[in-house]
Order: sequence, then C-alpha cells, then structure tokens
Amino acid sequence: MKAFWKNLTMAFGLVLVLTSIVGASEVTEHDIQQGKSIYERSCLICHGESGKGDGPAAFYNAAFSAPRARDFTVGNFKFRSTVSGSLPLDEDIFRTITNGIPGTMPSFSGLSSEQRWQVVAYIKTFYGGFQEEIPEVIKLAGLPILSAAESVRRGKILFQDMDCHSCHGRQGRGDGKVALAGELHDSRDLPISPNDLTNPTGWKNGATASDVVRTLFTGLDGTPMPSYESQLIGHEDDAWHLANYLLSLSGQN
Amino acid sequence: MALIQNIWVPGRQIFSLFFRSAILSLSLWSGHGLAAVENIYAGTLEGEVHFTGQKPRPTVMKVVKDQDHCGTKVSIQTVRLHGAYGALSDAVVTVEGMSTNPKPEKAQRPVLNMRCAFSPRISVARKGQEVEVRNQDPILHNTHIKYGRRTFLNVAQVPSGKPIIKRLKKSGLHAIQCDKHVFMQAYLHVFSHPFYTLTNQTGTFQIPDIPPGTHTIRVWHETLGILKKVVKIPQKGTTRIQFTYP
Repeated sequence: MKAFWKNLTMAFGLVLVLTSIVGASEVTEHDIQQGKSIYERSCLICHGESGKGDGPAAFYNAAFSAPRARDFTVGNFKFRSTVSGSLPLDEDIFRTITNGIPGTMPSFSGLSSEQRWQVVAYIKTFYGGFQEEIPEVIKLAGLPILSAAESVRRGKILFQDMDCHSCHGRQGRGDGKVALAGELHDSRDLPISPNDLTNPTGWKNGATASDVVRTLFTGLDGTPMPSYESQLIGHEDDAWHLANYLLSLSGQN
Repeated sequence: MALIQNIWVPGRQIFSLFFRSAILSLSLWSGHGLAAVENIYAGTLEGEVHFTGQKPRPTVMKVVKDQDHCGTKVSIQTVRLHGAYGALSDAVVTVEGMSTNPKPEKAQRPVLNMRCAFSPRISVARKGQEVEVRNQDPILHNTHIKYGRRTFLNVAQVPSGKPIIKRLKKSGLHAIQCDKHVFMQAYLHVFSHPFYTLTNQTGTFQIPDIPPGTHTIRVWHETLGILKKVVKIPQKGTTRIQFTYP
C-alpha cells in the first residue's frame, strides 16, 4: 500500500513537471506579435529595431565604454543560471526584464507577467540559436550558509586566493591592477570596468547571496568575468563564504 | 538444419544483397562510408608555405600582473620561420567549400595555460571533438574562448585546478584569450570536414583523400592574413602547391 502511494505521488509529480514544461514551451504567434508591440514601445530605444543593441539611445548611453545595450542577435547573455557559453533560460530573461539592471536598465515590473513573457518570446526571435540549443543549467548543490563573521572571514581569504583582486582590487573597489591598466574589454571590444563591490547599487545581477553565488558559477558572458563553476563544484560552501564576504563590502550582508 | 539452410539459400542471397545495398546507401548518406569510397578516387594535396621579405618585429607587451612568474615584458613573434628559405609554420590550410560531414574521430584538443602563454597557440579541430582546458601555471588564469562575439567558454582556473572539457559545437574561428593576461592569445580553427591541416616546422603540409575536382585551397595565418589558390585534384596521385606571403 505504501508503495502504491509512493508510485501515485511520483506519477502525479511527473505529470506536474511535464505539464509545466509543455506550458512553458507554448508560445503562440499572438504572443510573439504582442511581445513585438511591447518591445517596440519599451525596449527599442536602447536595443534597436533589429535587437542589435543599436537603438537611438544606446550609443549616447555608452558611446565609448561598456556596457552598451545588449545585442540580442549574438547569443551572449550576461545574466543567466546556465553554464558559461550557454544560452539563458527563459526565466533568466524574464528576471532581468522584471528586476532591471541597476545603473543601466530600468525595471519593467510595471508590465504584467503575461506581457513580460511575451517580450521574452519576442527577444528570442532575434537569435536562431534559441531554436537549436538546449540551455545547460548550472549544478548548485548544498544549502546556503548564512552570513556570519566566520563566513565573511573565510570569504575574504578566498577573495585573495581566487585572485578576484586582479580586477576588483584589494578592497573590492574595481581598481585592480588589470583594470587600472585598461586591459579589460567586452565582446564589442569596448573598455569595461569591473564592478565596484563597495557600491550597494552596483550589483547588476542581483544583490542577494544566491544571486552572487549564481554569478560566480555562471560568469558574465560577453565580459571578462569568468565562471568559477569548475573550481567551486564540490566546494559549494566556499561559494557562499565568498558571496557573504563580497556583500559585506557594501554593507549588504 | 542443412535442409532448412538449402531451402532458404535464395532468400538469404536476396536478403544479403538488399542488406548490403541498404548499408552502402546508408553509409554514403550519413557520410561514414565516404572516406572508404573516396579512397578509390581521391587525391592528395601536398604543399609548402613560405614567407619572403623582412621578418616582422615581434610585438612587445607590458605585463601588469604576476610579474614574478610572467616577467615584466612579453615578446610575441607570430611569424615563425624556419630554415634559410622562410618556411612558415602554424599556417592553417584547408579545402574550401567541403560539405561532407563524416563523424569525427573522438579526440580532445588541449588548450594549456603554460608559462603565461597558451599552448598550442594555433590549433585545428573537427566540429564534435572536445577542447580540454588546463592550467599548468602556479597562478590563476581565465581561458576565454569566443567565436565571433559570442562566448563559447570563459572559465577561471586556479593553479592545478580541474581540467575543463567542452564539446565544439560550431565550426569557424575560435579566438582564445586570458583577460587577466591580455598578451595570452591563441586561435582554434574548427572545421565541419576533415580536409584541413597545419603547416609544420618545414613549412609543408599534406591533406589526403580529397575528392577529385576543382577546389579552392585557403591558407590562414594569424597576422599575415589569407591566401587562396584554385587547384585541380585528379582521381589519383599527389598534387603539389606553393603559397608565398606576403
């Protein structure tokens, strides 16, 4: 009898999973056209009519240095929950539209959830790879470690050991030797500055510990920020200690 | 048993014939049998790549990080010449426009971070094969591989960190760079067919099993650019060709 209930629960769970997968993939032409309409009103001014990041405001916002508006036709997405080089999940694009990017892109949480999903559907039409590639999600095991003095102390050691200071500087102000030498560039070959980790409004990919751990695992494609996934798998505690230390630099822990 | 075999002999022959035809068709269609068929009518291309004139000066780049290990300056000579006649190594030679796509042999192409440089600096691979990225230096490197503007892989590796293996899914030029040490650059050419090679230290190369016909041969060098020549490959034998930069 116990086995029966177990099997029934598993079957029910499977149906739920399959239903959610089918539901998520059900994008109609109507959705894309609605997304296009919203995109042209809200996104085109920076991202451009053809999604190349060449809208009327894009050049003036970032004429000579990064970050310029994302070029959706290349397939480089910074903010993902997928491995380096992979396309993002739909949820990643949705999250960025919802939250915006501090300092560069406004939040569009004023749009309804349905409208934001429609914009996601339209953005994906700019790059054919979305039809061919399956995003590969990062593998994050273990439980979060709450920020505490000991965790922050261990994170500080990791910050040095993992050479984060080369770009972000010893105090995390974005003034590392490589940054000051002007050697960092983005995928457009525009000069790019590392994040000033002491600035609480500068966390473009989110400012919770889980956002920071996700960034450490994924890296930021199209920028010099690499993925540390292969070094942190099996050492997930270190990722949380490092995140706690990084957030402490801006007093956010 | 013998009786049964005798009764079924004609049927087995027909089945065998049908089966062989099907396998041959299938192998031709999929490309797996192409090499074997082409060997009947296929030529070999042999050639040399030379450089004449004044050898360019090496590029000298300042090292801003990890000077204890990398030194204060790095001198990079991309035009690697050998012997008295300017034999040029590390030029990528390929037959253009080849559409065959037999399954590549399984292989891992190494990308080593070694002595503050990538080794090899120029490499070639088949689409479907894998790259294996390793850091053999006592300092941290990031290996940033791009095709066009898209990131293929950007990974940090601590000293003696785990190797990273990733399958090459797209053909084309992949640029490799360490963002932390910008003087560390390399190129990986990925092809969807087997008709490619690199020139060796005598500036020579050989590409076997080329289908007969008129083909364009393309030579790529990282700083000297691209040269092309049209060549006719006969059904049998070796055809020779020579390229000279600049």
